[in-house]
Amino acid sequence: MLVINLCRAVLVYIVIKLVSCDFLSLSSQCRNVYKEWIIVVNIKKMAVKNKEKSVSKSKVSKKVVVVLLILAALLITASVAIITSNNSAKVIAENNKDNNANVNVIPAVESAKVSLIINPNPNTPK
Amino acid sequence: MKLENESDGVSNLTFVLVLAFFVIALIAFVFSLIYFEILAKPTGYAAYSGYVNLTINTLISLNVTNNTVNWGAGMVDQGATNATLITHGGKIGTVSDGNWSGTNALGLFIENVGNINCSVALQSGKNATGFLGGTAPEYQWNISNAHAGACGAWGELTSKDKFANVNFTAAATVCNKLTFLSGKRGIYIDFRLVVPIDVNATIASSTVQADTITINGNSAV
Repeated sequence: MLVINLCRAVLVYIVIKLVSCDFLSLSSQCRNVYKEWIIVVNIKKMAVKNKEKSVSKSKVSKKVVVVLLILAALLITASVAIITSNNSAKVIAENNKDNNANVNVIPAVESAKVSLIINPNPNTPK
Repeated sequence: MKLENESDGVSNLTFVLVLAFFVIALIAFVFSLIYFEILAKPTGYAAYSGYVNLTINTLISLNVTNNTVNWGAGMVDQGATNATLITHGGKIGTVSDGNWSGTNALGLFIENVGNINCSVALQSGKNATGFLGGTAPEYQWNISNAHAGACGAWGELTSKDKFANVNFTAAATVCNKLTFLSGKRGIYIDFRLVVPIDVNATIASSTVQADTITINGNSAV
């Protein structure tokens, strides 16, 4: 009974020491167990952090998406403007094409003269 | 409650969709540039609503170097029924059965001095009766190349290289395509007049009898 009571007291002491983290008062074996436990806990914490980091890296920044959307909108606007202006220019050019054929050719008008004076022959019998 | 990481970005799927939209817009933009030759145009950058208007005027211009055929004063020889006066291009005119002078009676020399080929139409102001009067007068012209190949396409052939009555009622296109190249752009218009002996019965003597020839240059036919 005495031995049993003694062992129980030792165990309680160890548990109290573990909880209070009193390394100096623990045996080396007991410290090792505690160290391993601490390492395991740290590894688990690091794993959680790494997981969180990887999750945040797989996300794309909203700013990038917004910039892409603005650029795309600008490109579409420019394309539509180019198409519209060129169609208008083509119509104008086609209209002018016909007009130019008539308007830009300026006919030339010149004149010349044929003249003579006809005198009566005095020797010709009238 | 949102996690902190969720508020910092968008999902990969959204990003892929936006990227695809951007690529499509880029392709459309590049296509419009190439199709409408925006980058290949040599001059003038038109911003959206403008355009470059370049007009090169074509010019038809005829130069009548010798624009007067003047026979001066003369009469029909005694005993002849009429006198015949003929011009010969750049040479002096000849007269038979009359005493007019051909010194100032050269054929009309017409040159296309414009920058395109043109057609030439002629019309006289009078016919033989109106011009000369008398019995059986004649008033004719003859169109010929002064420069070889000047007229690339002849129009009315009745007066090509031979005398035919002048066109009085309407203009006649004698040449459909008179070239404008230097040294190859001139034609002659020669005249033949037959003056009857009895012409003074219808016109006053010693008065100038004149007719005006109208020469029209227009687009080549």
